[in-house]
Amino acid sequence: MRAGVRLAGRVLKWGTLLTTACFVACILVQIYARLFLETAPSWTEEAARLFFVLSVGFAAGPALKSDFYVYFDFLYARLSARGRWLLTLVIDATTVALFGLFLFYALRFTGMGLVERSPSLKFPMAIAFLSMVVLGVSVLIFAVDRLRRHLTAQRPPS
Amino acid sequence: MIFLLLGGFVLLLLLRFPIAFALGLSCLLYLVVAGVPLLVLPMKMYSGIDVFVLLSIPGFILAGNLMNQGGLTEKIITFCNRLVGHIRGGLALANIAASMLFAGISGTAISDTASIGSVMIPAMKKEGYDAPFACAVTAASSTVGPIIPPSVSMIIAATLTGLSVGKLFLAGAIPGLLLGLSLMGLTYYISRKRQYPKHARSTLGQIGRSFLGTFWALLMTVVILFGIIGGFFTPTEASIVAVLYALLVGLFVYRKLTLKRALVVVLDSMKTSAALMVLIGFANLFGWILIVERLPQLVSEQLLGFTDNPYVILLLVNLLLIFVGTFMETIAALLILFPILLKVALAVGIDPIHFAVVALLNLMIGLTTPPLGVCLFVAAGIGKTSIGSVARAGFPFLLMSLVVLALVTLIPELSLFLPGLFGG
Repeated sequence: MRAGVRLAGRVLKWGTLLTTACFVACILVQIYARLFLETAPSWTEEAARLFFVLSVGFAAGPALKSDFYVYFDFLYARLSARGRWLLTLVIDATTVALFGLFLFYALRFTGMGLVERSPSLKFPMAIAFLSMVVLGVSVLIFAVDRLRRHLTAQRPPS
Repeated sequence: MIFLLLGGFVLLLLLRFPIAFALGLSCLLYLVVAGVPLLVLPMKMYSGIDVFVLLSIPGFILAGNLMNQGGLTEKIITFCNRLVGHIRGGLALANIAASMLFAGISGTAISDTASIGSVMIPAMKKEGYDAPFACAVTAASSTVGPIIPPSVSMIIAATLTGLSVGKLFLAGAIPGLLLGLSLMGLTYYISRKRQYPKHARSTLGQIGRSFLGTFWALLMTVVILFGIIGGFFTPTEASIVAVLYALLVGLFVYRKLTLKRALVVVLDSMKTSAALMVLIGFANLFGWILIVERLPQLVSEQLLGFTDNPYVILLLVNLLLIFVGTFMETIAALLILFPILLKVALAVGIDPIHFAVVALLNLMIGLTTPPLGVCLFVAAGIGKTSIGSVARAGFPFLLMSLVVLALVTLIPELSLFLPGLFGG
């Protein structure tokens, strides 16, 4: 399990870096074309958006692992150790449920994109919609891992 | 049904769910109970983030982080200290001035509090300033950042409503400077009263040398602003130009950035952006449900039934947003409330650009309003002092911010002068 999560982490990391480099490159091409060429290509914006949503998908899970999601820490600090343990369990389990459902419907959403074509590059929209599957998988991997680690850690006394 | 959505969201927020997930879960609850197909979950997430102008957010975050690798925070602080350090309470004044300059680089209040506070609060304590005062100054001054361009919050406000990002950037400049200068005036007054220390006057050569250290960072803000205003770049293009510029400056001018380090910065910036985009995606679904439930119309009718006086409307909006800003993260509050309130503002003839600046200023002030203002918590954590003492020390700054808010609310020209001058 741990080795799988580590491998997934590496894949998501390089996926994030690669897609980020691609969307930056697309926008640089757009800037160059607009400033120095007579006509700017129409595909750059569409390609940049595609790589951007993919990069968000790849980075969403590592963001959960590194605790980048902002939360409001007010009641939690006032709970007992047991209360905190239980609440964290509920949060982790609910996150798994939310993104499990998200992933299920993201797959169906991607299927819907098989018949649609993008306006400029004419690729099947399923490729763009796949970013939501990537996002679901990415968050789900680390949400499940958090839940597993929480359940296997020593429980506070009741 | 709408109470299920709103109540569920607030409850999950209080239970320490990440804001993005609290939005997603409350929407999920609503969709299940209302029998709406759950397919809208990924659909609305996708349509919420597949927006070209949103690409500027990772761009600006990345450019700021790359610049910071060159020790930019320290350089800006040194420059400000050279500039105003000889005045009574000089380090506190430098703290505010640094926030105003840093504003162009970071664009979010909490990151300003954390990055400037981690250098300034210990330094101020060491020089004999009270810890709560040092924390309060840092928290109050960090709210200036997102008003002075470029600002992530303004990009989001523009994306939500179709307003021009360039005009919004320009609109924030005078109110941001006014807020910063007012806080400096108040700090000077308090420092004189308490006889806080001052440094020896810096020579012109020292000021010049420290200016050179920050020159490249300040030039980035100039390139971004004039690039957008001059019509050379769109905001998204400007953000990527800023990334390229920051990378070159970090590698070849500051020489503290390595390619290996740059990859780490890119990854961290994308994690920050992805967390923000998941929030935006779920907020898009949340907003869609509010529209289905006709909440914007309901709020609009209720408010307009109560009064159609624009000043009374602005007063009510101010009160609501400050209250919300105290416990909700700025971007989440903006995503949920701004489109609803803008509808009301437009109905009574308030200029949308003016309204956006007022709304943002409110949410920023909320960040330093006790008992829950997030910046107060961050500053108190760095200063290792109680939140209560920081809130008490911050009270005069809060009052001053409210005075500036009243001025910006009542005098639309403060926001509209620059967009009118440059944007037509």
